[in-house]
Amino acid sequence: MVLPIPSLSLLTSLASSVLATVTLGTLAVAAVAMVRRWHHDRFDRRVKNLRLYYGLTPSGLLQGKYSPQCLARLRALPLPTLEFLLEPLLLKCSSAPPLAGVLQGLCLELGMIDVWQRRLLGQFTPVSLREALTIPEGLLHFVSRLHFLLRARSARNLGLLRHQASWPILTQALDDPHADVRQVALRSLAALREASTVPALLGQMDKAVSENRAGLSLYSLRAALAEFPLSQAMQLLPAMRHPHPQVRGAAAEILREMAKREPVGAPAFFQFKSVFDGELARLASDADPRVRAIAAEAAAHLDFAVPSPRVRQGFEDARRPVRTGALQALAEQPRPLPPDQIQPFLTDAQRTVRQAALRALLACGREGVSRLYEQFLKTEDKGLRNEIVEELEHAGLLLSLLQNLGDSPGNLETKVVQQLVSMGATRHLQEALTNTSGRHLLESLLEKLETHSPPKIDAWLELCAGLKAPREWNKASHGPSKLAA
Amino acid sequence: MDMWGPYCEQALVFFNLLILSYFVLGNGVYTGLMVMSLRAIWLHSRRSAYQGLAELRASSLTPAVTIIVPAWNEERIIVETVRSALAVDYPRFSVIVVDDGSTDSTLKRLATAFRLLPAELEYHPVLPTSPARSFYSNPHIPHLLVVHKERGGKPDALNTGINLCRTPYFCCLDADCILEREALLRLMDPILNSPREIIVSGGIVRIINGSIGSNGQIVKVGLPRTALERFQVVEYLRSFLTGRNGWSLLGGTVIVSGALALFQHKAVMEVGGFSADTVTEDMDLIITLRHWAANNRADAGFAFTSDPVCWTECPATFSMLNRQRRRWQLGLCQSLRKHRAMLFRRRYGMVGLFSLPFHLYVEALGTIVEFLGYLLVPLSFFGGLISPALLILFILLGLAYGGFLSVGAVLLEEMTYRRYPRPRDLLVLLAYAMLENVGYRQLILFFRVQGILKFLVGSHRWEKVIHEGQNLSSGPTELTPAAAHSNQGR
Repeated sequence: MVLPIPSLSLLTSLASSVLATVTLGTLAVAAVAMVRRWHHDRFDRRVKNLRLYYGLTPSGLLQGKYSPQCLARLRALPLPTLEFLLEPLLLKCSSAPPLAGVLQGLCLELGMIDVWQRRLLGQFTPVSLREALTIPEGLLHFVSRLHFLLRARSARNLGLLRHQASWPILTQALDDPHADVRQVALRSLAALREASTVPALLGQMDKAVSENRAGLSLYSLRAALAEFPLSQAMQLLPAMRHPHPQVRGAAAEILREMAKREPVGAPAFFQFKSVFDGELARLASDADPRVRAIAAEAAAHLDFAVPSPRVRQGFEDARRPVRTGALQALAEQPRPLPPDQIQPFLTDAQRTVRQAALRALLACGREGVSRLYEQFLKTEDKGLRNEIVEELEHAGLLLSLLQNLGDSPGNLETKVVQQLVSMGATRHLQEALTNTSGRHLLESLLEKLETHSPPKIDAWLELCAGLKAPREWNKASHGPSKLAA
Repeated sequence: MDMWGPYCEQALVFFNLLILSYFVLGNGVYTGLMVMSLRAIWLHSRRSAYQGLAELRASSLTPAVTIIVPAWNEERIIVETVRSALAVDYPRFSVIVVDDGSTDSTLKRLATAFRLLPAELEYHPVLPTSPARSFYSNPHIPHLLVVHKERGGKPDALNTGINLCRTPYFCCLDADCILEREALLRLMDPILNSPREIIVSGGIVRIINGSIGSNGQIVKVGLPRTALERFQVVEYLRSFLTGRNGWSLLGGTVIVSGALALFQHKAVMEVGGFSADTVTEDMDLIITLRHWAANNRADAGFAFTSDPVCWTECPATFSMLNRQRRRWQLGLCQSLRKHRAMLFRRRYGMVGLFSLPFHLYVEALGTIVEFLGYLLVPLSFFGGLISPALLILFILLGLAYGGFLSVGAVLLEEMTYRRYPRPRDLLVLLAYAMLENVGYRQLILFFRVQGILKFLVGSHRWEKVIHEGQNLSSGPTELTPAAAHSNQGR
């Protein structure tokens, strides 16, 4: 086969023209990069000066420095420049709530709220080319395909300002053709927490599970609805009866988050308890284990006084996540709970369940800790003992164990320490004693030597006293150092 | 011409046409990727104005993440890496450092810096790994766990971390990387806000050389001093801002840097974790997940965003750079061979039809073509097949086009993130972008050819790159209130 040899002159001329184009293109790209840097630095300085000139600084606004003359000057600014000056201030609203009120007033007077609301409805205020070129992003106003950026920013601004009256427009924006606008509108609605928007958000949730990829993510919707107060929980009832398990689970999760945030004993708990009792009972026997797990957690958070049958149902569930979820929720509750019902789970076959039970017992206060000590002394399971010590350590209870050491010869703490010393598992105790706060305790324990504590503990305390610094832990710990090994 | 037989002449012509096709296809695709990236990165940087990171940070529904740091003989930087991981701005996370049988003082340094104590943990591996010898923790940093295990290689160390991971997502972080504070939030953002189920979210890697760090964070970004390192800065910009971003837009991502990537735990467990079949376990896992997703979960997505950043130290010597590039090339060839069944298969979509074939032709075979080109094009010239003018033009065109792509990547950086604040840095970057194709490209090509030779002889050695150690001064470990009081994710 003879391959064609392309004409050399053709190739040469083609290569020359491509080379020339590429070289020019490279130089042009390099020039654009340099010009952009120069322009950006210059623009930054200009904006800084403008902000100072118009008093558009957080401190200036909080002191109410903007006068009618200042307002008139601001009104005279081109719309893109005005927005550019205001937007960084809006971003500071979440960290400085009083600023939101001041800015809301200023934006209303300048007509910006109206501009943003109209933009969300697709009505853009005309901007001349000259006005647009006053800021780097001004040309966005002329590219309709990029208008979604302006709409999304408008939605964000209304949310940042907590402009309550904008909720209908923001709700409408949940069906915007662009995903970004929908997403930002959702976050703004979560910030407004307007009760009337909940049905629309639940409708979006329905859409999220039925029309895959079409709308908002289920996570965003859950996160937004979880921002609402518990007083809006009634509106979740239809979602709890939804045929799709993801929606049922999400509704229970939202309820859990609402309950978590509400102060314990708030009227909302009593108001809705009877309503949700039945719903949660139904969800606690749901076919989907994830729904059962979340329902158990939600029930634990709602029944803050005494674990209800729903929570107990969660305890007895065959699926590990359900048991874990119920116990974890109990551990997070501020009210003491009967440890009797938790203790059996310390011997659960699943580690995560045991861990959750340990934490739930610790949350029960003094009584729960005593049960933990009893279990520690009773069990033959080395793994469980280690888990108990680990949890005591994480909860910062090792020092209190030592503080009560030797108060009476037969007290639980003394027995636990004795057991730990017998096992040679004193690393964590030693660390607690050699910390700054533990040193005083060690001194007082050494003073009490041979008064109450058993000889084994005395010997161990003397060994601890020989430690010089916590960094020598590897030299001082019992047995050969694992690190050295 | 008389000295050449007709077959030799035809072979040379054929080869010249092959080089031309390689040149046109490679540069054409890269130009396309650059144009797409330009638009996407520009849009992404504009979108960041309304990105809901604050909401993600504040929400109790944001899923917990485990940061897995596999380490082997990383005594120079490991403390800073862990410090940066602990300082990450994320609501619930834990850090698992897996010391893969280091023979230096990696473990000792960690123990000293974080005041670690031996911990008793029950380790029941689901993914098979070499045995874990011991565990270390500090009650005051409850979300840090250090595992000391027998040497088993990086994939094995990662799998140990995955076995210990109790969170729905985990983030791989190389032991020589410094994670930016918001990186994890930025990686999680596309996962949570996409209506699709995203199983991998990748970020970009930048070069730390020349920057100044303190307490696990970069405090001043600067350019390195040597030309070798500066060329790598330009190369990383081109690779991450142009290449990976473009492939992600096309839905053809096959490489997400293992230095910084967030994975769905469940999906990775399904495919059996990281595999030791190749020396680039990150690329291998991504292609395996692609394969699995196509066969089982068509809706699983792969995200890449250009603002989650981790900083890594690039090799400062020729020998270390050679090791790194040899390994990358060897890994690429191994991954392509392992997943050859996906090539040209419609079932695997863009990956099977375009991305993998492109990587095979341009990135793997193209290396040989380019290398031979440097030998055979001059031969064609001496044989009278190419005129002197055409030869010079062709060489200049190759250099100019390469320069164009690199300068374009610098422009992308300038238009978006502008991480190098000094105007002088921009000028230096532009100069190095233009010069990158004169000498540096050929050097890298030489290293890559060595990688291919290693592949051909069946080598499977993971070559360790030893770093110089950068200016990352570390003070005493400061426990933030979050670190001291939370039991995040564990």
